Order: sequence, then structure tokens, then C-alpha cells
Amino acid sequence: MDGDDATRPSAPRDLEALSDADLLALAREGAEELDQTSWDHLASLWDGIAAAAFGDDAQDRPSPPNLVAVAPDADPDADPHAGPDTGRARRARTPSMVRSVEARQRRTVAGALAGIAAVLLAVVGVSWVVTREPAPAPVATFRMDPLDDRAPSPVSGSIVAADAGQAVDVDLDSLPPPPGGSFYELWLLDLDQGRLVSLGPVGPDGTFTVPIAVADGTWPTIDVSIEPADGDPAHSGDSVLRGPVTAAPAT
Amino acid sequence: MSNPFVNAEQGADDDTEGRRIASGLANDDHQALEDAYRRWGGMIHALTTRWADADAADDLTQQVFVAAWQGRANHDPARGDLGAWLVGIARNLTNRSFRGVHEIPTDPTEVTREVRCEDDRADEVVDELLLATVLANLPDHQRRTLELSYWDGLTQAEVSDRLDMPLGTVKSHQRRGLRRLRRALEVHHGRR
Repeated sequence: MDGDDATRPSAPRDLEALSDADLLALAREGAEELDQTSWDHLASLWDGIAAAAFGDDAQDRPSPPNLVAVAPDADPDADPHAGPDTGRARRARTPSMVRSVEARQRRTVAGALAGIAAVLLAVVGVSWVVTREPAPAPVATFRMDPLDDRAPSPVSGSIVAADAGQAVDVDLDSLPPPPGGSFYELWLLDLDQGRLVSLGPVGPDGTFTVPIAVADGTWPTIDVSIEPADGDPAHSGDSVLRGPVTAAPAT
Repeated sequence: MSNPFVNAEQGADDDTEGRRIASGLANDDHQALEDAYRRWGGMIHALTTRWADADAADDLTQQVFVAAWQGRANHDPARGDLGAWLVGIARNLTNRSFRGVHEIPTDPTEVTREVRCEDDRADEVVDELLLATVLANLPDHQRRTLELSYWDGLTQAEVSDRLDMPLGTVKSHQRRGLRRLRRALEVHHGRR
């Protein structure tokens, strides 16, 4: 244990003596170590963990996703004992192993979107019929909470049926002007499945169209991000508001 | 830069996502174990890979998370140290499986001070992996500004130019990120 490697900080027991640069140097060493792991390989280990850990609860596996309107929430704060299917609590899926390496992220998100597109193309004919119902009615509501102090207050809104799919009705005036060179963007997310879709930049009028194909899916989460104006259409990963989408009671 | 899933805790100084996972685990939430694996599985695997051969490392990694599930009642979610707790489980399992240390815990999730890994660099490696994991889970702006400054050697002004971000914002992102990194180490070392 005696400093056989004088070129970098030894095991940092004296935390005060660690400079900021030391912290980042240690993190870099760790990142290099982590990069040697194949994330596909890691993901392949999950089923074994789930089987061993949850083996007795196999009957709790969820039924296939519901294709009608927007699913009930995946609220992380929901009481896991509240009902027979409270969403996330019961699902045992292979995690979509994602990392912070940007290229990998792009590939993951792009792959997810391509997959969604293929599935949605197959169901778009059906959804057209379903969503052509004339009477607009709220199909879901949501409340997004600030993720940090950049958003001053929670924001609530609703999703209503519209001619061309659905429309999200939300007032985002409470957000401060975005930092220079950036803008706010509204997203529907399915964190469990690693899916996301942009509803577009946040403009002044507060209405967003959910395209027919997308409206047909299940989207547990709604999110507002800050996007740098860099031409990259992917989610920046920097969100200011997020919350669960809750299906409106049937009328 | 493009993945919203890594950074569920966006911007908070505190690791709210880590706390959410820990309290989910305490509430028997299956998803919480999956989230924990997604977040700390790489770290545990990297650690067990140092201590064992590849097949054994896979087994150990799985055992750590199964033991974490089975022993979830032993972890207090208020401590904010789920990552360090998982490391403790890995140490215990490793001692039992490969080192023949006689202080074998009957329950691997009973993480105690006495059971130590004999690898001299182990503590250092744990710190490195913990810090790398915290860094990877920081909000993107915090992570990017830190990486550009400390890994790529850019000044704060250069980072500001590169990211088209006001200098004050760069500084505050870095400050928050550094606080999270330091706090993670404090929490980790505080428990031992």
C-alpha cells in the first residue's frame, strides 16, 4: 500500500488533499477501465439477474403494451403496492444499456427511432381510423416537475385528440428565456423502452402536435429539454422539466 | 450529448436519481434493481474483472445484484451510497469466492468495515470507478465542461467558446459537477 506509484494520487483517504484536477484524473482512469466492458455483454447478464432475483414473481410480468391512446403513468413516485399493474414496478426487461459515450448514444437513439418507425408504419393505417374520431377529448394529463432550479415551477397540461393525431396543450411561459444559443424542446419519452420522440421546439403558442403514428404509442413521460442550436436533432440529455403522463379516466 | 436516459437527475446538485433508485429498492420495486444495474453494473463488472477471470466476473456481477435484491432491507436509502454498498457486496462475495478470507460474512449484504479486499490497489480502483460512474451520470453540460477542461486541457474561456455557452454558465456547471464528484467520494469513504 506504500506509494509505489508516485505519479498520481494514492488511494485518496485524505479527501481534502485531492484537487479538482486529481478528481478528474481519477475519474479518467476509471472511465478507461469502464470502457473495456462490452455493454452488450453486460446487458446480456441482466436476464440471469432478473430470473434469479424475481424468479418467484414471473406471473407479474406485464402484458404487451396497450396500443390505445397514452398509457397510464410510469411515475417513479407511485406506490408500488397501489394496484395490480403500476407500470415500472413490475416490469422485468433487459435494460437498454446506454452510456455517456456520445457516438454510442446516437447509435442507440437512432436505432430506437428506426425501430419505432418500422413498427409505427405497420400500425399507422389502424391509428388513422382510430384517431379520426371527430370529438376532441382529453386523453391524458400530465404534470412536469422542475429537475433543477432552471425551471421555477411545475407545469401541468393535457393531451387531447385532434384531427391529425393528438395535440399537447401546455403553457410553458413560466420558463425563463433559454440560455444564449439554445432553445427549449418538448419530448415524449419511454424510458423503459429507450424510445423518444420530439414534439418540436417550444414556441409562443403552447400547442404541439403529436403525429398520428406517434399518438398511437404508449408514452409514459413528457419532458422539456434545453437544446443547443447545433443542428443535432437528438435529445441533448439536458432536461429542465419532466413528469409522468396519466391517461384520463374513461368517459 | 444525445441521451436523456443516462441523466435522469438532470442538474440537481444532489444525486436525486441515485436516491430514487435506492428508495425504489427499499420498496421492492423491480425496476429499481434494473436501474441500479444500468447505472452501476459496469462499475461492478469492471471491479470483479480485476479480481477474477472473465467467467467468474460475469457470475460475480450477477451475484452482486441478486444479493442486493435479496438483501435490500439491509440498505438504508437515506444514506445516498447505493453504489458504495454494491461495492461492499462485491468485496464480500469476492472474498468468499476467491480469497478464502475467514471473515466470511454470512450475508454478503452485511457490509462491514472488517472485510477488506487484499488487492492493494483495490481502494484506489474503486474510487476511480465510482468517480467515473458519477461523472458519466452527471447532466451533460456538467460532464462536458469538466471533460473539456480537465481531460482536453481547455481553459474555461475556451470551453465557453467551444460550447457557445456563457463563461459564468461554464463555471457554474463545473462547480456543480465537481461538488457531486467530491460528495460521492466523501459518502463512500464516510461509510468505511
